[in-house]
Amino acid sequence: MQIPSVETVVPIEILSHVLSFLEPQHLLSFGATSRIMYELSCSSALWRQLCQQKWPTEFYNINEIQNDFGTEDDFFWKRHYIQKYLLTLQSTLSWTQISLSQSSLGSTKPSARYAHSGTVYDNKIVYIGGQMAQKSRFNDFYFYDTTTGRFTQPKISGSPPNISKHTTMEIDGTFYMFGGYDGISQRFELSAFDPVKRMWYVPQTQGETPPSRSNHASAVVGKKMYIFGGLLQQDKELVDSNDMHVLDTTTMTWSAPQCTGTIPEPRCGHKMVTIDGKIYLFGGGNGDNWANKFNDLHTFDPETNEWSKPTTIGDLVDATTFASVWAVGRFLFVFGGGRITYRGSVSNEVFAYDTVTRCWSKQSVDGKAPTERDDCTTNVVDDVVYMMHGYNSGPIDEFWSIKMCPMFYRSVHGREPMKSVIKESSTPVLTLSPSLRKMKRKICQLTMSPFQWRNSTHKS
Amino acid sequence: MASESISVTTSDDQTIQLSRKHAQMSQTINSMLEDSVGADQEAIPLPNVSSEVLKKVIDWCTHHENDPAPVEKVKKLNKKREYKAKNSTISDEWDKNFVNAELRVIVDILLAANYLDVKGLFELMCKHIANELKGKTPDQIRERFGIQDDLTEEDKAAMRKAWGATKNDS
Repeated sequence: MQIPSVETVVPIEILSHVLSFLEPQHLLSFGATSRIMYELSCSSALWRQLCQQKWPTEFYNINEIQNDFGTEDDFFWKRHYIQKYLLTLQSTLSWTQISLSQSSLGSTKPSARYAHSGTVYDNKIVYIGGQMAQKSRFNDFYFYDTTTGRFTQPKISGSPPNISKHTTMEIDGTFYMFGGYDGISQRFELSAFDPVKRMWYVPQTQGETPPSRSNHASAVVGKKMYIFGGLLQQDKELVDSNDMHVLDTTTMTWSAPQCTGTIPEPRCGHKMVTIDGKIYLFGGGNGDNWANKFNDLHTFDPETNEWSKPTTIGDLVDATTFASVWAVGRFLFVFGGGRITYRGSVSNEVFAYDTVTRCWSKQSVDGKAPTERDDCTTNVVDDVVYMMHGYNSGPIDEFWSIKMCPMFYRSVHGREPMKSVIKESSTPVLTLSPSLRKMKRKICQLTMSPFQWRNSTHKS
Repeated sequence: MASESISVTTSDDQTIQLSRKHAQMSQTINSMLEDSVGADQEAIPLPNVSSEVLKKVIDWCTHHENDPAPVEKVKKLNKKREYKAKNSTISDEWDKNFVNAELRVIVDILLAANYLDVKGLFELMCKHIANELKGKTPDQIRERFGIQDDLTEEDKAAMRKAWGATKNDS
């Protein structure tokens, strides 16, 4: 006897109640049976409940989270569950040391250094300056091509100073360097670098240029570069600052926003990253001999110019000054930096901060980890986090990477990593059938949408 | 004093007597009774339930007539921040035997329990179907539940990659 098809007999709202008894792996299997079942299996309500079941402590304020994030797209909860789950697995992130001595890399490679800057441009990372000792600084520019694994040191026009403790941000193909220290004083303001023409120059700006500084932090939101804090020279004394300055690169105009909320204490050696249009500031310290070190987290909303200090939960973050900070999706990661538990020692641990649940967790990373260090650059290109050099009782010349597993990458970006697309050019990139793309039904209260996988093409 | 027995008419035009106690286990019938207090008791029409299925429902009600009334679940989390996971385990031996039926019958009882609003029975059927889904491959689920496979090979490849994510989650 032909069994009547379940979806034609059982109303959708009853089916989704049945599905609420399923574990994630069963739900995913069920979703792989047909299009309508796939839509049902992606329901926000189901995955929200699964998040709450799996991490009850983290999702104690689930209604608040729902208000803040839950309405942003239909896949939010499923995606967040899968990413959080993957981060609990040892194999999702893995350490690899990139050999600097291989002959294929050629003889060009950056020497041991710290307090340099690393900036991503079109699958390349450009490393600028840095220092190998208190009195030895560099003005060199190294290009690392992540697709070939080669370093080059092209000739640069202009005459950049020997510099360290600066920041370099890329906006629309132009690098904006700010501040830094040349061993004599903090006297550098804004300079620019064109990575295609390989030209270093001092751009014209309007508005009041912020005072020069070193060990500040920078972040980019849209076409604007934000600078916060750092060490300033005032009346021949060095002071820690907590002022915010913005360079709007569309008009090349500086401004200092009137910040409200809980402004972070003056500090230097902190880091900033942008996640979903908000700036996250982590760590740093201030005072003579780093009297105060911070492992705290602050957020800045560029739309309202408001600072806030979220109440975080979870593990103690044993990292403060000169930690490496990067973001993937809704997660912020911290590697190394000065420990808060043992003064004067640095760390080689990785911590993950979930910006949704405001929870810190010690992150396990597969493979042999690098030794303890601080002040190494961190750049995310595609599915790899590149960590260059750093410092621990002396400059380090090691090039490390953390690779994300494809599943995690796919869940964050909704597509395959670019590089694997390039390597496996014969493999078709995941696409959804046109009929599936078109199909968008609203059934009961469940909002559903088609696949999140998108056609991925390599941008040249 | 209301009579102790209620008459209902099923979809196949059978008139069935059931005790007031059993009738009241159905929120649907119960509210109909409340609406017609004092009126002459006519047979209540149940156009969505067949006599065969209603008998099954009465069987279940008979077995569970002395169950404590279901407590409304407090959705708010308690202070310990504990959240009880949804459990699909069927612990009652009689219930286990009861759900050991053809899928067609199971679905009919589920729909009747939903229409009659018999909470315990509805939950039981949902749990049972959920248990039937567990641990099965998409192919096995399709076969068991007669789901039409309308996915392309690309869709399936994409799904296989995605669901590997939690395959080791126990």
